[in-house]
Amino acid sequence: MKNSVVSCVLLCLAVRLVLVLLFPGLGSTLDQSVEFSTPVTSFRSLQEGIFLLKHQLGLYDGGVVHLPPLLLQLGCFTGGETGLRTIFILVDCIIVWLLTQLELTLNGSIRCAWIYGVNPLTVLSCVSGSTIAFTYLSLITAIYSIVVKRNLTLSSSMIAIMSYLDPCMCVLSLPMFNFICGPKKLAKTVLYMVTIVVTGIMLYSICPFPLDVVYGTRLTFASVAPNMGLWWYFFIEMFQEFIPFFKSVFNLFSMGMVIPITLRFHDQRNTNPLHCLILCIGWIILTKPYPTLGETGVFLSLLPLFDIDGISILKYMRYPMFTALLFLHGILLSPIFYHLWIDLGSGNSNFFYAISLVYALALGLLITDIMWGVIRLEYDGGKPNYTRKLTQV
Amino acid sequence: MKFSKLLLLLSTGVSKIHASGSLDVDVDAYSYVTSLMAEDATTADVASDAICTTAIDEYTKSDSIEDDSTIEQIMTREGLKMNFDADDRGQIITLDSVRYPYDENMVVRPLPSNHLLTSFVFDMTSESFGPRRNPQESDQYTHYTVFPKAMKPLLERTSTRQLQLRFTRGFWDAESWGPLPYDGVKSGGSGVELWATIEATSKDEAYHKWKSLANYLSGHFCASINFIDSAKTSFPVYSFKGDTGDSAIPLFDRENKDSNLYILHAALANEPICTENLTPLIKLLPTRGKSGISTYLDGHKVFDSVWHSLSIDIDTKCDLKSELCHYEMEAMVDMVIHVPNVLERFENPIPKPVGGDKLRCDLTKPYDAYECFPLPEDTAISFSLSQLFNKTITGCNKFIERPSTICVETTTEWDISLKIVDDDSLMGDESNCFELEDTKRYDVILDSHNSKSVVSTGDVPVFVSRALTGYGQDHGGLRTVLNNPNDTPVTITFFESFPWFMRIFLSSLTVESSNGDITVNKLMESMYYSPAVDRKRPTHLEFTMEIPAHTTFSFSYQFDKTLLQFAEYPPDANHGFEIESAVVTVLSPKPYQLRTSTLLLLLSTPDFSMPYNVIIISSTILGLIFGVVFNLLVKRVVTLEEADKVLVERSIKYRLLMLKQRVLSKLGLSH
Repeated sequence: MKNSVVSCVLLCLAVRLVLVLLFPGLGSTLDQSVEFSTPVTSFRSLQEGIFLLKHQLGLYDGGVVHLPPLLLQLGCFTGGETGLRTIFILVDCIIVWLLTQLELTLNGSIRCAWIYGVNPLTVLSCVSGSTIAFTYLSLITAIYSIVVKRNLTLSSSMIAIMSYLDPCMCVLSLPMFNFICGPKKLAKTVLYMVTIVVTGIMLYSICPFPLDVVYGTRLTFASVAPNMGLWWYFFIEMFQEFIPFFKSVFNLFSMGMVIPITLRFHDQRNTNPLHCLILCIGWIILTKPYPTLGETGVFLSLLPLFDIDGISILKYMRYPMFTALLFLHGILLSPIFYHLWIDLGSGNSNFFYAISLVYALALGLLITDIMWGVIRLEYDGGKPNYTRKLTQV
Repeated sequence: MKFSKLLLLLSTGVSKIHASGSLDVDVDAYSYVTSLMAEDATTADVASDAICTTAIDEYTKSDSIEDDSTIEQIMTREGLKMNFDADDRGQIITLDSVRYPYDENMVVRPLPSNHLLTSFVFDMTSESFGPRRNPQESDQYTHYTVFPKAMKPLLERTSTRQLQLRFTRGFWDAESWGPLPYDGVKSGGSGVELWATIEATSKDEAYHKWKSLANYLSGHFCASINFIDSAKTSFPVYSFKGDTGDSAIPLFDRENKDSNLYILHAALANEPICTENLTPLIKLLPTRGKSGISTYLDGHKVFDSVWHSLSIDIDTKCDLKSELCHYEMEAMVDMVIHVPNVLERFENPIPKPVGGDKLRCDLTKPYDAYECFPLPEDTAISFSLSQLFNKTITGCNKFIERPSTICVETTTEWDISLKIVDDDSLMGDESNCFELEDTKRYDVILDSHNSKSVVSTGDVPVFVSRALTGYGQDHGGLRTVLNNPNDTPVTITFFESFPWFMRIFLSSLTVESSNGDITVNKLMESMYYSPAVDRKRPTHLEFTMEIPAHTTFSFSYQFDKTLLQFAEYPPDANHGFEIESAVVTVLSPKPYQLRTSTLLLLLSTPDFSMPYNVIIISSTILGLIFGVVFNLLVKRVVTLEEADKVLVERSIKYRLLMLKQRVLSKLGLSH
């Protein structure tokens, strides 16, 4: 097993290195693509932030850099584009290693890591230099430390780092409560919450920054740019008077739904808290203001975790083929339709909008289908019965 | 009182002229006189002068009066005696001896390839005023003599110490025409450009005063200057410092320690400049375009040019000892016309094809009735200003200190002569400068056998060009090339301002230079960079740089174009967005200012017909996903059989049945 772990990490490394070395321009091309880069996570805004920091120009004076300062400070140490790209590849390798350890503990296989290592979505996201890599590194570390190491403090500090990097993800701290079990539950819950708050305050106080520029932009979708999400066209076309109202509705929709999902799968007798967490991750990726395909890649890589110890939730899915085809349709057509709109001018914005809706539908369908599987397994009491016909009333 | 006597005289005079039926004297001018008379006697003099000039102007047009009588003759005939004696107890000031600080002159300079630069300069100075004196305590009246009445309250209300307004359109061909007139400091970028020095206690206050200034100027000059907002306004750091020299602009409010001078700058690129902007400018002049060189300022002529620039500069000059200040205003109109084109239009108002006999064919090549290789334009040229402007010019020195002048700057290969139209006499002068005296009508005749011979005005210190690079409507690049072709190094400051929807990445700055001296780090040393804030502030970029002799260097950076909200797009969104020109100010070897051309930035647009559709469709998808998840989370999982049962139980029919049974059982009728 150890050999396959090493080979998995090496393959992950090799795929990314080959792409970066063979196609030196690929990184910047992907960084310009709306699928892998958003104004708040793009590699060029990271570079811009580092540049401004190095030349002591006002970092958050303007509307270009929305990355938290510690990430930029980290970037300052690496020096140059080569250093940054190396860091991104290393981060992906660490994620792959964490996934191998996670799945080995749960399942004895390393399918997640393989999928993460060669999945084109995660590979291209890494090559584009999207800063979501750091967010997901902290998320996977948090999962790893709670599931494998049973270390609540490490996990909660990782959740704090993740929220520091991307405030939209902070609601993922809620499904993490489901992991807390056993004796002294109350004390553990308090410890968990206190650690998150203290780490968060520490991170902020090391290097304070204007919250509205860094977090306000992400939460209020201030920098309107096309992406694969549901927000952008809605807020371009929305009438001025209703924009603040609908922004709060969308935020409520995105973050608020995590609470009922967490509560519904709170009971640990028949539901794995990990499943609830992955479903919440999927929900956030679907509804956040600046989603990228790289995040979807991470979500897809986590799907093998629904198939643990021979109990496969994925087999409960009612329309996997339809969902897969919708996904392919959305992901393959989106760059083409974007090109038609922006570069050629032979299509208009509705083309790309339509495809982003197809993609949202695919992701929504996948989440609800898996959620149905989780509910089914709960009904079946942990012993799958795939032939039983069930419905909901 | 003598005032009322004068008023009476004037009013009788005017009414008599009216009564004679031959003249249609400007009634506005008359009411202007009467209103001003109440304020001040001196003003009345100017006003009466204005009436006189008006009268002459109208009089000369009139058919009913046969001879070209002078103003005195008219006045005498109408029983009006205007020439009061200065010694007449010193109470009424005579028309002849009162002179006002107003200067006007016109410079005509032939340019290569039969172009002609015509420059009009009007200088006005206001009466002195004590800025730190309480107006109630002051023993002085407020005087508006030749200084436009519209401007002074505005300058006072907005605490503007210096004001520069430019309306420029067209292309100045620096490579063949040489440096811009007045070393470029009097011409702006294509469109409208405005910058001002404003005294304020804070940046916000300065901005509010600036906004008020812009709104006023917008109304006065019939231009869209009111569209200047915080997203278009920048606070220059190195550029636009002006030539304050020894007379630094004073702070009026010295008691307040926060009081400071702020320079604000904004430009509206490619704003159309037209006759509705020129007319307000002419209205500022005391001659009102009725006499003197401003007669030539006709919208049809000024805007029928290759390049034209209207400029207004107002400066505050103070004497530190007496604590008295005055405003100086310089209004300038410059234009470059292509002489053969204008003459062609003069001769043939309706365009017609050139007749076969008038074609200038290259005789060294085959030519016949159907084939003709045209020669370049004739270098022998002769024309008069009246042909170009369709008018003769009338002298105007009734109230100004120095007579209006017309100067022609040419080489010896040109013959310049001044023609007095009334007696058909010609005059020439070595200096080619002519003074327009009295109220005679003049014309200037320019004649040359070699129009290629023009006066050289020196080298252009630096050339600059700027262009957008890249394709696609979501990102692009900007490349600026600066070229110093001279033997001396040139120190420049470079000023650039972009709208917020161009999201500049300064980290992508690359510099190329022909000798490798200039690097990114050198550029960054003096860089002032203030990135844009969405909808609030433009990107503002400035640096100082020395360009070595015979060096070309270019710098470029990348930017993202953001999408705007539906309502923020202009009606012609697919036309693109105008980007204002960059300003290069040469500090040494000699002060010079030049601008790049403006840019047209194409932004991606949403489908403007879609708002309802998008709201409906997006909401449907959100509702669909929400509905499914909500159902999954709250509903009970049951087998199909159970579900059928539940559904039956929920039906109205079943409920009615149950109700009936219950009622029956209550009544004891159930079985």
